[in-house]
Parts: sequence; C-alpha cells; structure tokens
Amino acid sequence: MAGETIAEESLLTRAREGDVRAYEELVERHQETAFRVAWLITRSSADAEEAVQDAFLKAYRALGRFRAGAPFRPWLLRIVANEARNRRVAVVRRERLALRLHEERRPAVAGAAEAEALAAAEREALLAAAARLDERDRLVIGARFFLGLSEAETAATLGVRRGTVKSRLSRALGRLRKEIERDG
Amino acid sequence: MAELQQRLAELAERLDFPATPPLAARVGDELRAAEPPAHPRRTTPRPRRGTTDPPRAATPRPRPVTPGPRRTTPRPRRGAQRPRRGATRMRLALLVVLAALLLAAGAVAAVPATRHAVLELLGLRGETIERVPRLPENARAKPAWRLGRPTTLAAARPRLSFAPLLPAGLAGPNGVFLNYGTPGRSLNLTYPPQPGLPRSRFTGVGLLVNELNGHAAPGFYGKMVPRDARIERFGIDGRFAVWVEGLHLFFYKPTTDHTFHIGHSRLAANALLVQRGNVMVRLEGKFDKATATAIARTLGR
Repeated sequence: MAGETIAEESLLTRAREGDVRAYEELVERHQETAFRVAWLITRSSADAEEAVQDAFLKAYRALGRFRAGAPFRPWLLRIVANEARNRRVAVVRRERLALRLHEERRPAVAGAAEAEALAAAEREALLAAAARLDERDRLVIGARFFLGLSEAETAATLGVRRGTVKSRLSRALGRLRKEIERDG
Repeated sequence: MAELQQRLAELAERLDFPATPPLAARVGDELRAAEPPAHPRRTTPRPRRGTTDPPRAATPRPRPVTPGPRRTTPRPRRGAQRPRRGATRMRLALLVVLAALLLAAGAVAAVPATRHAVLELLGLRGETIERVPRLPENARAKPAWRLGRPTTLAAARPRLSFAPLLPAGLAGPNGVFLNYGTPGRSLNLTYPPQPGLPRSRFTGVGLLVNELNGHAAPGFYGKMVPRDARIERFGIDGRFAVWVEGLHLFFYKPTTDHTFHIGHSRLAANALLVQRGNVMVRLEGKFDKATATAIARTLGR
C-alpha cells in the first residue's frame, strides 16, 4: 500500500511536469472507480463515459493546483462527480437504477439449495429497496458500500464534509431498513 | 444496523456494473493533441481546509478541451532587434513550407506508377490523400460508420476544440454526432436526402458533414484514391479545397499506432474537403463539385 502511494506520487510528479504517459497510467488506475461514481450519479453509461473523460482532462489541467502529498483519488472523484452532475438531466429520461446482480451468480431457483435461493432473493430485495431510496440516500450508500469508497472519498464525491457523510449514511441506512421491512 | 451493513457489503461483491470504457489512451491522445499545459507549482503550501483537497480544482472553469491553433506569429517583445528576429523566423518558416511543398511535388513526379502509394497532397491538416494503384479488395461501404454519439449542436459545441461550421439553406441536420475517438473530437452532421442531395449508398444520407480540428488531429483521417478517381485542388473564396470524385477509401489511423487497418476504413464516393482556419470540413454525398462548392460557400458559424 505504501509502495503504491509512492508510485502514485511519482506518477503525479511526472504528470505535473507534462508526462502524458504517466498520466495515462493514473487514468488506468482510477478509471474504473471514476466511471462507477459517474454512473451512480448519471445512471447512464454514455453520460458517465463522457463525464469521466472530461473529468480526467480537467484534472490534468488542474494538476498544478493539486497539493503534493495529498491523496489523489478524493480530489479526482470530486471533479468526476461535478462533471457527472453537470450531465444529469431530467430523471424521466433516465433508466431506473440499473444495477443488477451478476447473471452467472444467480442460482437457478428450481435446482438450487433452498438456503442459496433464499439468500439470492434477499439480495434482490435489498437491491430493489436501495433503488427505491431517494438520490441522496442512494448515492451515499452506493459510494460507501457498492463502490467501497472511504469516508473522505465519499465526502469529496458528494461535495460534503466527512461528518455529513456519517450522519447522511446513518439516516440512509435507517430508511433502507424501513424499505426492507415494508417489503415484509 | 451492522447486519444491514454486512449485507450491503456482500451485495457489492455481486453487483454487475456497466463495463468501464478504456479511457487512458483516449485521454492521452487528447492531451497530446492539445497544447502542453502549464502546471505552475505552488511555492507556498495552501492552508488545509477540511479533510479533502482543494475544491477549487474540482470546479474548474469550463475551457475548450483543446486550445485553439498554436500562435504562429511571434509575440510582441521589447527591444529593437526582436521584431526583426520574428520576421526572419516567419520568412524561414515560409521557406521551409515552400521547400516541403516542392519536395512533395517532386516526390509525386518522381515515384514510379507501380509504387504502392504516393503521397498526393500536403495541403490539408486533418486529412492526407494518397494515390494508390487500386483499392484494397476487402474495402466495404459502411453507412453510419464512426459517426459518434448522438447529441445536439448546443451540447456538442462546448465539447469541441473548434467552433463548428454549418451549411445554410438545407433541410436538417437530422443527426448531430460527437466523436470522442478523434483527437480534439469531431462533429458529424447528417442531412436527409433532398433536392440536389440524393441518398448516397456510402453514407445512407443526403449529405454527411464531418468536421475536425486539423491542428489537433493532423493526418488522423486519410483517403486512398485509385487512379481512375479524380483529385482536384482548387480555391473556394480564397480558401484551400480539394474535390475527390469517384470511388475511394476513407480511413483513419489511430494515434496509438498510426497504422492503416482495413477495419478502420470505409468506401466513399464524392467528397469535398475545405480548410477553414483550424477546422477541416468534409462534405460527402452523391453530388457533383458545383453542388458541393455551393454548400461549402454557405458554411458559417
């Protein structure tokens, strides 16, 4: 982990000096998380792709303002989230939260063990309940649990303070629990 | 609550996110096509606010992705000798360009006809034209090839590295596409068949307008033109233009390897190329030179 940080700092230093190849490596490292963050916000693969590409370009041009030694990912994710928010248009045009479970991991209910089938159904129900939450709740849960972002990264993505992430997440989990109970 | 969090963490492992597009090469291409950025290092550390890094960088002012053309004239400087040095540089640059054109003309004349490809033209920044004995046998017509992502003009404008030019007096466009795969990005407009613009079997539309930043994407697109097709260089209101009449191959060379591949090409028929500042406009359709020229004359912002 420490080695990775050092390597990332070295890439950042080179990118700041205009080394595009070093920056490409940084893009390679962070593109998946960046794309998923943008996708959670836009709920459109095309918009997310555009947002992330533009965000990486803007981040490169803003590298001179990036504080050396600070973690790069939260800084980058904030730019990505801003770009994604700029692209978010009327919700009516958007697909429903289209997160799905891996197709290949869905058990064929008829032939699967009862416990496994039950667990799969519970996961489906949990995902459906999360999808029914409002955007604020969905984003904080999505960032923390589905994307595995740290509190600092979630704060940067949502444009709030770390303390707000904690309280927002706590309330979102409470509402999620109620959604699940409503499903019975 | 802990149990719910545990279930969410388990759920995350089974989520099927959309595939992440490969962005590194695309971002790198755009950056290489653009001016080298200035990354002034801060001399004094910025006071730390909160726990995350500066939000100023997170809300950068919108800027064109690729800056405009490089400054070709010397900056005004102080001192009596500077302007003369600039003028000398200008003259030198002009001589170099002239020499390159003469060399190219000489090369075209000197290369035997049997040679596989001859560089025919150096005049357009965004597109090269090669004369070839014959087209590759596996060349195919591919209507709607590489148009890009459907969008609107209003949405496309801020994402382009150039100000697009639009033909006037036509019905349409009925399609606006932004192609992120071209350095500096390219804009494609489709116009439906209409009087004077019948449907082309190569594009599937009446008129296809393809625009790109010739400075950002030098030689990105190209044409292979067989001997029986016509290439004519001429001027439209003082601007350089090339008319290609007859079946030819339209292709692009990815900036990653700069090599031709048949998969990156399609058959095309008549096309007019016009250079307007940093914008290279390509008009393609089943029409003659006079029609294409008349459309090119209406191009405006």
